[in-house]
Amino acid sequence: MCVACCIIDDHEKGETRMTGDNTILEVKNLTKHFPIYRGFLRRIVGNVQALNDVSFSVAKNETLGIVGESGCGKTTLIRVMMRAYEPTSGEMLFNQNGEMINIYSLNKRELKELRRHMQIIFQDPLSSLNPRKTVLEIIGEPLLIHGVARGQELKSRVSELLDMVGLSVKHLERYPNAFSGGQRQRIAIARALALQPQIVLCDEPVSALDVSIQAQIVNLLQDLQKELGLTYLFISHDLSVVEHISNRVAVMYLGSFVELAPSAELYRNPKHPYTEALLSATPIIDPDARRKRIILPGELPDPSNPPSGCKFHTRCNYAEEVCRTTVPAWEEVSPGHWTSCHLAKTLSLRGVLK
Amino acid sequence: MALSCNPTLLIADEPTTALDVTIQAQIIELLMSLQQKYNMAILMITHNLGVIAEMADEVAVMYLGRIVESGTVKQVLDNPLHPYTIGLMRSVPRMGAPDQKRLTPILGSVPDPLAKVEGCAFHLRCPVYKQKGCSGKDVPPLVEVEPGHFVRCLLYH
Repeated sequence: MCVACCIIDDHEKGETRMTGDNTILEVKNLTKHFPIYRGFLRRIVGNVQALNDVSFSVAKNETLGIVGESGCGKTTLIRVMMRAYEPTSGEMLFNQNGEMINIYSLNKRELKELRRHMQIIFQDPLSSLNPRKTVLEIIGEPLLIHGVARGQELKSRVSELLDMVGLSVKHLERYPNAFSGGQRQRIAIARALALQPQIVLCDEPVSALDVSIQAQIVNLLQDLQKELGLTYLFISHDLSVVEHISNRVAVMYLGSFVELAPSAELYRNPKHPYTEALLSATPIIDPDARRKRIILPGELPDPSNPPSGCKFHTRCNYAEEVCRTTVPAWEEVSPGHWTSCHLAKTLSLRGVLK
Repeated sequence: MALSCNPTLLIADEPTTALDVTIQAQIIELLMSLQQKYNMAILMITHNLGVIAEMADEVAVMYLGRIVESGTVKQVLDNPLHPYTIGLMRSVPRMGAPDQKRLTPILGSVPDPLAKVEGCAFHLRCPVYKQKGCSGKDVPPLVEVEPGHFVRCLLYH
């Protein structure tokens, strides 16, 4: 744990500068707007601002958690990072053997090569596994596409991967429907790890699972991280799972980061009212700890027509005039603790323990 | 809609599952205020232990079609007795408990409901299963361990 902290501390100081050796990924001002077309001429009448000016970096072997409500842009972020969507603006630098490469400047062939190092695990393992392919075909596919292995070698490599995720060789010829939810997620993890990636983007990997199975998968992810030196981006709306697995946590609201801090700091000492509301809304398993919940009025505003100033002001209990008119800057309020709130220095917000 | 006939009992089957925590909090507040206003009982079905801790007076834990433990919310969550309840409590991460390095999952997965499990339904996954009776013919009966706190496990016979 201590080692991890040091890495993160070092890395935090370099947040806005060029990167040190520890940084594996740096996202700069990433923005994605989806145009809305209307009428016969398909004119663009507006933009859904799914991602706005998101910047962060990730250190090697770190787990960065990202939380936020549905529709806040978590999945769009991952898709833009994988270049499944092209960003509207911004760049993402990937550390390849010490050289920072902007993935949006790569051509198709270079991108394919780079994708070996970045893989995804999706939320729903049933819909992300092809029901008409066997486990061998599913996990072997990336190996075939990248020309890593074939034939007998492929089979033995897939068996190794199955073993790594706690399944066995006897499962090779079965189809996804023969497995339980937890086992399917293990297959998805094995597929993601087939090409020995450096970063795995986990998009709600345990949200669809029962609590006891969820614990098995969380443990598996942690074991694999230790064994293989993986870096995770862990997206979830479950704050307790994110706290458990992450070194640092970022909170997203309406397409932007509103807070980013080491997890213990974020949960104990939140600086953004939205983080405070999320924490207070999460039920705690202790009947003696029934607290007053902060109920956020209403739902997420329409991202095609976001509120002026601070986007959270329409639901914020502390909003002042300045919040309605001026966009707050993304500032470091204490070492490693970033937030965008005009009142970050004056408010005293309630964390998990207070 | 559920309230249109002024019910005395409202059955809520996973009303907050799959919702964001902020919306979940709104629904919990709503249900609790309605409960006060209409003076009705709520039967809340959920797999979220946190929601139980916040809302419930009494809890019943089910496994494979049978109640394996029941009592007041304090009795069950502060002092879980059945190995399944204990397993559930240990498998979820607690917010604000950073010293917790590893979760303790329950072994295996829920058996196929078509396959008949003899004896205690949980013995196949039970970490403390040792007694012969656990896999015997009869289902262990519910015993009252303390006033109001029932458990269906041979350990407490």
